[in-house]
Amino acid sequence: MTTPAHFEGAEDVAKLTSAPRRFPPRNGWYGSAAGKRPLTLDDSREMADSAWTISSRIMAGLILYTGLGWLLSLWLGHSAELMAVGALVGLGLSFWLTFAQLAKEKNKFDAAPRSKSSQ
Amino acid sequence: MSAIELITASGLDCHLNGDNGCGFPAPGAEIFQFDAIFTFSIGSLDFHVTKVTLVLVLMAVLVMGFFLFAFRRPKLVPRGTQNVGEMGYLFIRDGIARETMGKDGDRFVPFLFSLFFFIWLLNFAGIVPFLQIPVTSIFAIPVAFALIVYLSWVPLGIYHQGFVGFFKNMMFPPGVPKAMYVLLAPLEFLSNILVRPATHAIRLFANMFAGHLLIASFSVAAFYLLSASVIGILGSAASFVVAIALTGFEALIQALQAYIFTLLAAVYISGALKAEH
Repeated sequence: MTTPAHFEGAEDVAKLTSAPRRFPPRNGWYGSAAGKRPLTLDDSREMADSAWTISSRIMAGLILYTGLGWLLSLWLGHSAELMAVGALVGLGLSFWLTFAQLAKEKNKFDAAPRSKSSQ
Repeated sequence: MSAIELITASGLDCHLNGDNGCGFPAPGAEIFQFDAIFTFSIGSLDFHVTKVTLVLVLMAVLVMGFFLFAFRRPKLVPRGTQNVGEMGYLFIRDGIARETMGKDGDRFVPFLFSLFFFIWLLNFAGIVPFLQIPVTSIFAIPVAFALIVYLSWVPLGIYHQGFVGFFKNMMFPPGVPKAMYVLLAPLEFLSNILVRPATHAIRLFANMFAGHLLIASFSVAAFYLLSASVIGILGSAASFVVAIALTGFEALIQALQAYIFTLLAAVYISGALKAEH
């Protein structure tokens, strides 16, 4: 299956945009990045885990630090400002943690050797 | 008073521009509440059996009956219902268990299999004529399922990683500066121990609740708008078509939500078996 390459990376685009032929996709839900090796089971397991934790992590960050802000505001006597600050801090922390883990996974994925079979 | 009761109370005459001044009887949360069909008590406990209870029991009997029938005399070369049953089994084993846990997943296939097909049938009751209530849109039901999963992966994690190791792996994610752990450890603890089971249940509940409410709204609108005016006829026809389309869409969502619930159960168990490194 070769398509004429009209531009650099045309094959990568075709690979990324083609729908998976198997349900569920053989390489896991997150596919394999074009030109890289297919995902192994460990990759897909880790990525699946981190993908599904994002929502609960953001929620936990919001609840925890908004709550802390509220407790602080009870103690210090300011009303809503500390809660807002707490919400922002919680949101920021959970986002930061998510991005840190995604970056770690991406580095690991990029460092892995390319395979010929994924062409 | 439910939407249906509102409609029937006005003698099936609740329409747009009607003479009885009937407003749109928008269905709300009350369409998920049913009167007890019969009650019985054991000791001091009163049990109220409603339509939901009966549908729940019916679906449990159906799912057990089907698979017992399919595998009553298993042949080496499967035919008929055994073929369907094996396809379902392989879908769970290869698509969910091995996808998330590899070969380790095989011993959890019976659990995931039961979970998927039971939840799918409970969801499916939402578009079966006369049943027409997705049992999982009653919040207690997804909560029960989420608790079963929760009480599976937490002890499994403690068993496989040790009590200290389990909480250490959970609260101290690798790849972040040490100083940040003061802020992140409580966040991760809350996220995994409290928010995770809650979102697991709410995801299923909210999807089925919202879907059922949408179908009900458009069905009631198709009835209410039916009147001798251009807007009435067009609106009624449009609502009817949308209600039918939403029913088809719900059929998809029901299977998808059962799949996601089971996949998440497998992901949680997989995380408990093997710590992140």
